[in-house]
Parts: sequence; C-alpha cells; structure tokens
Amino acid sequence: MSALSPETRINLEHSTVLLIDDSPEALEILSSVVRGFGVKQQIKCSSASEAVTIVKAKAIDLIIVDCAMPDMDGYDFVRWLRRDGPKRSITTPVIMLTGHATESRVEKSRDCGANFVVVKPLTPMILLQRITWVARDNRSFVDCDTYAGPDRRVRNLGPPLGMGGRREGDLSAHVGMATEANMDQSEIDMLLNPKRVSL
Amino acid sequence: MSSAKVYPVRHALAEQMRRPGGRTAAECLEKAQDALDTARDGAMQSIETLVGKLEAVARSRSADPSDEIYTLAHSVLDLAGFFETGPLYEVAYSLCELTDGLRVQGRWEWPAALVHIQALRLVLGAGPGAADDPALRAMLAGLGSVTSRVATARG
Repeated sequence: MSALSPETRINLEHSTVLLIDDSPEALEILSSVVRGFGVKQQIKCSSASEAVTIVKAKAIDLIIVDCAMPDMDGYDFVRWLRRDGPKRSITTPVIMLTGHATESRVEKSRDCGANFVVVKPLTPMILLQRITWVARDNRSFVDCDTYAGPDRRVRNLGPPLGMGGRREGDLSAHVGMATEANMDQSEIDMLLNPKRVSL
Repeated sequence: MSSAKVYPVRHALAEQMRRPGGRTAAECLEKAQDALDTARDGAMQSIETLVGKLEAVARSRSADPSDEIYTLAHSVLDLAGFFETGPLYEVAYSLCELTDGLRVQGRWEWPAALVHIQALRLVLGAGPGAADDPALRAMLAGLGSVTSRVATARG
C-alpha cells in the first residue's frame, strides 16, 4: 500500500460516515479522529442493531465498525449489510477494526465481506491510508451462495490448479501447444527496442 | 459448484474525496493527532478502571472467569490501541491470547492469568517510556512464554 503524501488533498466534508463500537470511550476517540480528517457528517452507533436501523434509513458512504461487540457483532453486521442491506448500501465500503487479531478473526473479517481489516494499535496515518485505499478499491463485487462482498482476490492469480473457476474472466491454468513458429532473436529485439524508421 | 455473480463497483466516497476543498493529508493527521492527545488522559483513566475490574475478578477466583477476563482484557486492548502505550498494549494482547487459548481448550489456569493481571498493573504505573527497560522486556518475554505454552497445548 503506497504511503500518503502530506500534500495530498482529501475531501471528506461531503461524506457520511457511520461509526459502530459498543465501547463509548472507543467510539468517542474514533469519532474525534475521523472529525480531524474533516468528516462533518458522522453517525455514531453503540450497537450493530442500532446501525442496521440507520443503514435502512440513510445512505452511508463509509462504515467503520469494531469486530467484537455483544449480541450482533461486527462480522454479523457486515454479513447482513452485504446480503440483506438496502440496495444502495450493499457495496458501501467497510473498514473493520480489531484489537485482538488472531488469524481466524482476520479471515472472518475477510469472509464476512469487509473491504479492509485494520488491526490496532491504530494511528491516524494508518486509518487515513486505509480510508483512501477503500475509496479507490476497484475490486469487483462477488455475490454467490457462500459469500457476498468485494472480490477476496486482491491479485488475480486465476483459479486454483485443477479447478475450472467460476468467473467469466477466469483463464485455464493449462498451457496449450504453440500454434505458431518461435520468434527469432531479431524479432524479439525489435519488440523490446523498436527503432524509428523513416518511410 | 455454485455460480457467482460478479459486478463492478464504484464508490461514492472516491468521488466525494476528489472534490475541490478538503484538507491536506498533513492537516488531517495533525488535527486527528491533536484529538487523540486530548482524549489520552480520559482513556488512561478508563484503562485504570478496567485493570481494577480485572483485579477484582482475580480476587474472586471464580471457577470459569474466561469470558469475563477476555472481555475486560479486550476492552483494555481496544482503548490502548489508539495510543502509543507500548508494554501496556503488549500485556493486554498477551492476556487476550492466553484467555482465548484457554477458552478454546475448555480449561482455565489462574496462575497464568494472575501474572498477566499483575503485569498490567505494573506497566500501567511504569508508562510507555519504560518500554526499553531490560527488566520489563524480560517480564514481557516471560509472559510470551506462558501464552505460547498454552497455545502449544492447544495445537
């Protein structure tokens, strides 16, 4: 992930950000950091069920949610958003925050449909970088029986060996026989270092 | 194998962020850091209260305190994770690891938990400046060994 240049202009004045955390202190701290980024419209929710009501009623541009909450946790909330949320909000970018980041929890964040999981300790620089990253996140959305959310393949390496792949653009790992003669060295040189010619 | 519907997405957030105006990244970070500095004392008081609650649970020596201790340790971690708290964060993380590991195994070890809770009180008094203290590093390494032993037992 590229570092953020200090001169880069970021305009979050027109964005509505939803913050969800059951800890009032953590929610207030997160809110003050986001306010520092220039966000003017932020909605704070102390539970995921409260956030569900908000998302149903209002268009949200970014959601930052804590993973661990009683009753409906952050993972359940994101799964609800991607599966059963209002159509306008299904693809809303979601950043999940976690303090205790076991491998299983990070996988759970990825598999529930979050765009990014941020592991504490959290600095303003890390959060701002992740916000700009998810805004530019141009991964396609995937909707299938077992998953709904951004494509979990950040790099497209194709389907696993021996499997067909389920997407139209998936290419077979099988390399067929060459259909043309090999290029000779002068043709390769011309490709790598084309010369200007006068006609 | 089920079929997958794949479609492109464009976030409104990206367009909003590109609009004229706003702040430079440097201004954003400065204002956010100011806000964090203002919040720090209150957060440290809340962490102090949470450590007090952990000590109260430790005094009770209840038979299955794992959920309660994990929740409290995780709350410490959540708050400490906004600031440069060094060893405090490390000890809280280790306690979360330990408690989570014991929960998965369906057992409980008071001595391992107690040493973490005592360490939390110690580092809370020492502050983040003590992060390089050799004695403190040795203590953190010891806590790491305790947690690793539990993790190994899990595997």
